[in-house]
Amino acid sequence: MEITTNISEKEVIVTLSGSMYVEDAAVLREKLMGFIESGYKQFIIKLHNVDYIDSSGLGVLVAIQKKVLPKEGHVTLTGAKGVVKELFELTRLNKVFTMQA
Amino acid sequence: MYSFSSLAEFAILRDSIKRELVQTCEEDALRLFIAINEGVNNAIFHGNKEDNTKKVQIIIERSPEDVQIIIRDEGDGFVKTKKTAGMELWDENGRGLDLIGLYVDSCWWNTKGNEITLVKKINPAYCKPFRTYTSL
Repeated sequence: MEITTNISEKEVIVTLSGSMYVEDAAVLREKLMGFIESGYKQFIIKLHNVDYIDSSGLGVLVAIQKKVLPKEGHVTLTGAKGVVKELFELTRLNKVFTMQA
Repeated sequence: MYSFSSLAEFAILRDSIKRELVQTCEEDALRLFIAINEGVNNAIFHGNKEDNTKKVQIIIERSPEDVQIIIRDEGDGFVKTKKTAGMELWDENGRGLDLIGLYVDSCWWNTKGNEITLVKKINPAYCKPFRTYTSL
Protein backbone atom coordinates (compact mmCIF):
# COMPACT_ATOMS: atom_id res chain seq x y z
CA MET A 1 0.00 0.00 0.00
CA GLU A 2 1.11 3.54 -0.74
CA ILE A 3 0.49 6.17 1.92
CA THR A 4 1.06 9.82 1.03
CA THR A 5 0.32 12.77 3.28
CA ASN A 6 -0.08 16.47 2.61
CA ILE A 7 -0.91 19.38 4.85
CA SER A 8 -3.53 21.84 3.63
CA GLU A 9 -4.41 24.67 6.00
CA LYS A 10 -4.75 22.77 9.25
CA GLU A 11 -5.91 19.54 7.68
CA VAL A 12 -3.87 16.42 7.09
CA ILE A 13 -4.84 14.90 3.76
CA VAL A 14 -3.92 11.24 3.57
CA THR A 15 -4.09 9.49 0.21
CA LEU A 16 -4.09 5.71 0.33
CA SER A 17 -3.60 3.42 -2.63
CA GLY A 18 -3.74 -0.37 -2.91
CA SER A 19 -4.67 -2.95 -0.28
CA MET A 20 -4.38 -2.24 3.43
CA TYR A 21 -3.18 -5.30 5.32
CA VAL A 22 -2.08 -5.58 8.91
CA GLU A 23 1.49 -4.50 8.15
CA ASP A 24 0.24 -1.39 6.30
CA ALA A 25 -2.13 -0.56 9.15
CA ALA A 26 0.83 -0.42 11.53
CA VAL A 27 2.62 2.06 9.27
CA LEU A 28 -0.50 4.20 8.91
CA ARG A 29 -1.05 4.23 12.67
CA GLU A 30 2.51 5.43 13.28
CA LYS A 31 2.26 8.19 10.67
CA LEU A 32 -1.11 9.51 11.82
CA MET A 33 -0.28 9.33 15.52
CA GLY A 34 2.79 11.40 14.68
CA PHE A 35 0.58 14.11 13.17
CA ILE A 36 -1.67 14.05 16.24
CA GLU A 37 1.33 14.44 18.52
CA SER A 38 2.33 17.44 16.40
CA GLY A 39 -1.05 19.02 17.10
CA TYR A 40 -3.05 18.11 14.00
CA LYS A 41 -6.62 16.99 14.58
CA GLN A 42 -8.44 17.26 11.23
CA PHE A 43 -7.85 14.37 8.88
CA ILE A 44 -9.19 13.71 5.40
CA ILE A 45 -8.41 10.18 4.29
CA LYS A 46 -8.83 9.49 0.60
CA LEU A 47 -9.84 5.91 -0.16
CA HIS A 48 -10.57 6.29 -3.89
CA ASN A 49 -7.77 3.92 -4.87
CA VAL A 50 -8.09 1.46 -1.99
CA ASP A 51 -9.35 -1.95 -3.06
CA TYR A 52 -9.23 -3.70 0.31
CA ILE A 53 -8.90 -2.87 3.99
CA ASP A 54 -8.76 -5.51 6.68
CA SER A 55 -9.95 -5.31 10.28
CA SER A 56 -6.62 -3.97 11.50
CA GLY A 57 -6.89 -1.04 9.08
CA LEU A 58 -10.44 -0.35 10.22
CA GLY A 59 -9.17 -0.44 13.79
CA VAL A 60 -6.46 2.13 13.10
CA LEU A 61 -8.99 4.55 11.61
CA VAL A 62 -11.22 4.09 14.67
CA ALA A 63 -8.22 4.72 16.92
CA ILE A 64 -7.43 7.98 15.12
CA GLN A 65 -11.05 9.12 15.31
CA LYS A 66 -11.17 8.33 19.05
CA LYS A 67 -7.95 10.29 19.54
CA VAL A 68 -9.03 13.46 17.73
CA LEU A 69 -12.72 13.71 18.66
CA PRO A 70 -12.01 14.88 22.25
CA LYS A 71 -9.76 17.59 20.73
CA GLU A 72 -12.68 18.72 18.53
CA GLY A 73 -11.00 17.12 15.56
CA HIS A 74 -12.46 14.75 13.02
CA VAL A 75 -11.64 12.05 10.51
CA THR A 76 -13.43 12.30 7.17
CA LEU A 77 -13.23 9.42 4.72
CA THR A 78 -13.70 10.08 1.02
CA GLY A 79 -14.09 7.88 -2.03
CA ALA A 80 -14.79 4.49 -0.46
CA LYS A 81 -16.27 2.17 -3.06
CA GLY A 82 -16.92 -1.49 -3.76
CA VAL A 83 -15.95 -3.89 -1.04
CA VAL A 84 -14.25 -1.14 0.98
CA LYS A 85 -17.51 0.78 1.22
CA GLU A 86 -19.30 -2.48 1.99
CA LEU A 87 -16.89 -3.20 4.86
CA PHE A 88 -17.62 0.17 6.49
CA GLU A 89 -21.34 -0.46 6.13
CA LEU A 90 -21.31 -4.05 7.40
CA THR A 91 -19.27 -3.07 10.45
CA ARG A 92 -21.44 0.06 10.94
CA LEU A 93 -18.29 2.17 10.91
CA ASN A 94 -20.05 4.45 8.45
CA LYS A 95 -21.67 5.77 11.65
CA VAL A 96 -18.29 6.52 13.21
CA PHE A 97 -16.84 8.55 10.35
CA THR A 98 -18.11 11.24 8.02
CA MET A 99 -18.07 9.46 4.68
CA GLN A 100 -18.09 11.44 1.46
CA ALA A 101 -18.09 10.35 -2.17
CA MET B 1 -2.22 -26.34 0.71
CA TYR B 2 -0.37 -23.23 1.79
CA SER B 3 2.02 -23.32 4.71
CA PHE B 4 3.90 -20.41 6.24
CA SER B 5 5.42 -19.23 9.49
CA SER B 6 5.19 -15.48 9.51
CA LEU B 7 3.24 -12.49 8.27
CA ALA B 8 6.03 -11.77 5.78
CA GLU B 9 5.70 -15.27 4.30
CA PHE B 10 1.92 -14.94 4.15
CA ALA B 11 2.26 -11.57 2.39
CA ILE B 12 4.15 -13.31 -0.42
CA LEU B 13 1.38 -15.89 -0.79
CA ARG B 14 -1.61 -13.53 -0.81
CA ASP B 15 -1.73 -13.09 -4.57
CA SER B 16 -1.48 -16.84 -5.18
CA ILE B 17 -4.35 -17.43 -2.76
CA LYS B 18 -6.45 -14.78 -4.50
CA ARG B 19 -5.75 -16.38 -7.88
CA GLU B 20 -6.74 -19.80 -6.58
CA LEU B 21 -9.97 -18.38 -5.19
CA VAL B 22 -10.78 -16.75 -8.52
CA GLN B 23 -10.22 -20.10 -10.22
CA THR B 24 -12.33 -21.85 -7.58
CA CYS B 25 -15.25 -19.44 -7.57
CA GLU B 26 -14.71 -16.03 -9.13
CA GLU B 27 -17.94 -14.48 -7.87
CA ASP B 28 -17.12 -15.09 -4.22
CA ALA B 29 -13.33 -14.87 -4.47
CA LEU B 30 -12.83 -11.45 -2.88
CA ARG B 31 -15.19 -12.10 0.00
CA LEU B 32 -13.64 -15.50 0.64
CA PHE B 33 -10.23 -13.84 0.63
CA ILE B 34 -11.43 -11.33 3.23
CA ALA B 35 -12.47 -14.19 5.50
CA ILE B 36 -9.19 -16.05 4.92
CA ASN B 37 -7.08 -12.96 5.59
CA GLU B 38 -8.85 -12.33 8.89
CA GLY B 39 -8.52 -15.99 9.86
CA VAL B 40 -4.82 -16.01 9.05
CA ASN B 41 -4.20 -12.80 11.00
CA ASN B 42 -5.86 -14.46 14.01
CA ALA B 43 -3.77 -17.60 13.49
CA ILE B 44 -0.46 -15.71 13.28
CA PHE B 45 -1.04 -13.18 16.05
CA HIS B 46 -3.41 -14.91 18.48
CA GLY B 47 -2.83 -18.59 17.65
CA ASN B 48 0.90 -18.86 17.08
CA LYS B 49 1.55 -15.57 18.90
CA GLU B 50 4.01 -14.58 16.13
CA ASP B 51 6.24 -17.54 16.94
CA ASN B 52 8.04 -18.13 13.64
CA THR B 53 8.85 -21.71 14.57
CA LYS B 54 5.14 -22.49 14.30
CA LYS B 55 3.27 -22.95 11.04
CA VAL B 56 -0.06 -21.77 9.72
CA GLN B 57 -1.72 -23.90 7.05
CA ILE B 58 -4.54 -23.05 4.66
CA ILE B 59 -6.42 -25.76 2.79
CA ILE B 60 -8.95 -24.79 0.12
CA GLU B 61 -11.34 -27.44 -1.18
CA ARG B 62 -14.26 -27.19 -3.56
CA SER B 63 -17.23 -29.55 -3.58
CA PRO B 64 -20.30 -29.36 -5.84
CA GLU B 65 -22.13 -27.36 -3.18
CA ASP B 66 -19.54 -25.23 -1.46
CA VAL B 67 -15.99 -24.01 -0.94
CA GLN B 68 -14.46 -25.20 2.31
CA ILE B 69 -11.41 -23.51 3.78
CA ILE B 70 -9.44 -24.77 6.75
CA ILE B 71 -7.00 -22.47 8.57
CA ARG B 72 -4.89 -24.29 11.13
CA ASP B 73 -2.24 -22.95 13.49
CA GLU B 74 0.04 -24.57 16.07
CA GLY B 75 -1.02 -22.50 19.03
CA ASP B 76 -2.77 -23.52 22.22
CA GLY B 77 -6.23 -22.90 20.81
CA PHE B 78 -8.92 -20.30 20.82
CA VAL B 79 -11.94 -20.14 23.10
CA LYS B 80 -14.74 -17.91 21.95
CA THR B 81 -15.78 -15.82 24.92
CA LYS B 82 -18.45 -13.22 25.43
CA LYS B 83 -15.77 -10.59 24.90
CA THR B 84 -14.84 -11.99 21.49
CA ALA B 85 -18.38 -12.82 20.47
CA GLY B 86 -19.27 -9.47 18.95
CA MET B 87 -17.73 -6.17 18.07
CA GLU B 88 -18.50 -2.92 19.74
CA LEU B 89 -18.73 0.01 17.38
CA TRP B 90 -15.80 1.93 18.87
CA ASP B 91 -13.51 -1.02 19.55
CA GLU B 92 -10.15 -0.82 17.81
CA ASN B 93 -9.76 -4.60 17.71
CA GLY B 94 -12.03 -7.60 17.51
CA ARG B 95 -13.66 -7.19 14.11
CA GLY B 96 -11.86 -10.11 12.46
CA LEU B 97 -14.20 -12.85 13.63
CA ASP B 98 -17.22 -10.75 12.82
CA LEU B 99 -15.96 -10.17 9.29
CA ILE B 100 -15.40 -13.89 8.86
CA GLY B 101 -18.96 -14.50 9.99
CA LEU B 102 -20.28 -11.90 7.58
CA TYR B 103 -18.49 -13.32 4.55
CA VAL B 104 -19.00 -17.07 4.89
CA ASP B 105 -22.13 -19.12 5.39
CA SER B 106 -20.81 -21.05 8.36
CA CYS B 107 -17.64 -21.50 10.40
CA TRP B 108 -16.57 -23.63 13.33
CA TRP B 109 -13.49 -24.54 15.33
CA ASN B 110 -12.02 -27.90 16.16
CA THR B 111 -12.09 -29.02 19.79
CA LYS B 112 -8.66 -27.61 20.58
CA GLY B 113 -9.55 -24.28 19.00
CA ASN B 114 -6.54 -24.01 16.70
CA GLU B 115 -8.32 -24.85 13.45
CA ILE B 116 -11.18 -22.94 11.91
CA THR B 117 -13.26 -24.25 9.02
CA LEU B 118 -15.02 -21.73 6.78
CA VAL B 119 -17.76 -22.77 4.38
CA LYS B 120 -19.19 -20.69 1.57
CA LYS B 121 -22.06 -22.13 -0.42
CA ILE B 122 -21.67 -22.00 -4.17
CA ASN B 123 -24.09 -20.15 -6.36
CA PRO B 124 -23.98 -22.33 -9.48
CA ALA B 125 -25.07 -19.38 -11.61
CA TYR B 126 -21.73 -17.71 -11.00
CA CYS B 127 -19.26 -20.53 -10.58
CA LYS B 128 -17.64 -22.92 -12.95
CA PRO B 129 -18.99 -26.46 -13.03
CA PHE B 130 -17.64 -28.59 -10.22
CA ARG B 131 -14.38 -30.37 -10.67
CA THR B 132 -12.38 -32.10 -8.01
CA TYR B 133 -10.32 -29.32 -6.61
CA THR B 134 -7.65 -29.45 -3.99
CA SER B 135 -4.92 -26.86 -3.82
CA LEU B 136 -1.36 -28.04 -4.21
